Amino acid sequence: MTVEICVRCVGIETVAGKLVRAKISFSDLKKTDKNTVQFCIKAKDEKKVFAIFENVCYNISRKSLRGSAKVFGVLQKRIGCIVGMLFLLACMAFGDPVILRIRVQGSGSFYQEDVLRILEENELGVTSYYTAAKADAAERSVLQLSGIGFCSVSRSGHVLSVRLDVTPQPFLAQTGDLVADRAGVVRTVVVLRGRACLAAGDAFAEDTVLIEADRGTAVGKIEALCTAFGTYESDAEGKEEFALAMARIQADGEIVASSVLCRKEGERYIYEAEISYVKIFSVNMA
Amino acid sequence: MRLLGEILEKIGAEEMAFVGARYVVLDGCAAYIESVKAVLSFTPDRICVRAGKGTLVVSGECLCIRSFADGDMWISGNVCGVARCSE
Repeated sequence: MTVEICVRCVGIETVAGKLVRAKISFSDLKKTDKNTVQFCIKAKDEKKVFAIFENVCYNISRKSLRGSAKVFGVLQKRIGCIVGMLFLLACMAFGDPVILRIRVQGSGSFYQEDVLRILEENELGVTSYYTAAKADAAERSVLQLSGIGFCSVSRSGHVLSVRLDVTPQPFLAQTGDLVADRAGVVRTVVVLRGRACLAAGDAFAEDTVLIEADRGTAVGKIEALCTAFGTYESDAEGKEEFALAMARIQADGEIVASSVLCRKEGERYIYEAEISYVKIFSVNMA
Repeated sequence: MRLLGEILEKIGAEEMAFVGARYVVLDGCAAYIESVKAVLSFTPDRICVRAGKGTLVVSGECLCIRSFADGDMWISGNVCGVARCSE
């Protein structure tokens, strides 16, 4: 570390002599004007130099610092700035992994409350310090939840993102042919896999194979017009609705027509209702 | 200074316990003086030093003591010459 010194006095010629006599190493000694001499010394000799020129005839001042002394001097003057920068760097280095917000995403986000509890248990709650090890432990715990097939805990800035998805249920294909459980008349046929045994307009009876499976599986649907019947006996007249209600119980489709016949047998009235409705027979297809 | 040491060795003066002033002059550029004990005067055109048992006067222009350490002095500037002085 080097310090630049400036000495003003009348007998300027003796400055170098005093330094040499005191065996103080110096450099760049030069006269800057008639009564001023300037030189550089090592910082450790500074006190010694001030002691030599303590006499009132000399006016000595430290002009500036050089080399590393200059750097230290500047740092000393701007200590507040340096502390602020160090604080900022510390915040950047150590403050970034602090979690300020948690976001739960994915098809398994209905588990949010459980996920937040698991994160708390693994010290990954809000204002916690994020580490990869904690995230791994939390992932393992979240994967224990029923139906969760994928879980990822990651951090982006101060936000902890938890992505969890449920395991998709396997498609359970119904095997075998599509068989009619009642009689009817075919209106439309859609077959994606297998072979259609009937065409539009064909009538079929109960237990008829509608679509023949291909290698064990059929996919398709057949819309058919079916008929449901209902019979009601009563001593009174005007009970058609009861017969219709009996028929409606069997008609599990869209009703397109209905009729009721009433006949008298002795003292009793017999009501016979007939309802036409559209029934959709389907296999592995909505 | 290695050069001065080699010269003394060649002339056999090393064993003579040489006590005079030892110096090297780079004409118009610098002067290097060993065993400086005191600076008797200092102006930009004349520097008078006591070295060894003698006194040397360095003359020139814009003279400046470039460095002084352990008795060795390096004077820079337009050095015209170094002369022994009886002051």
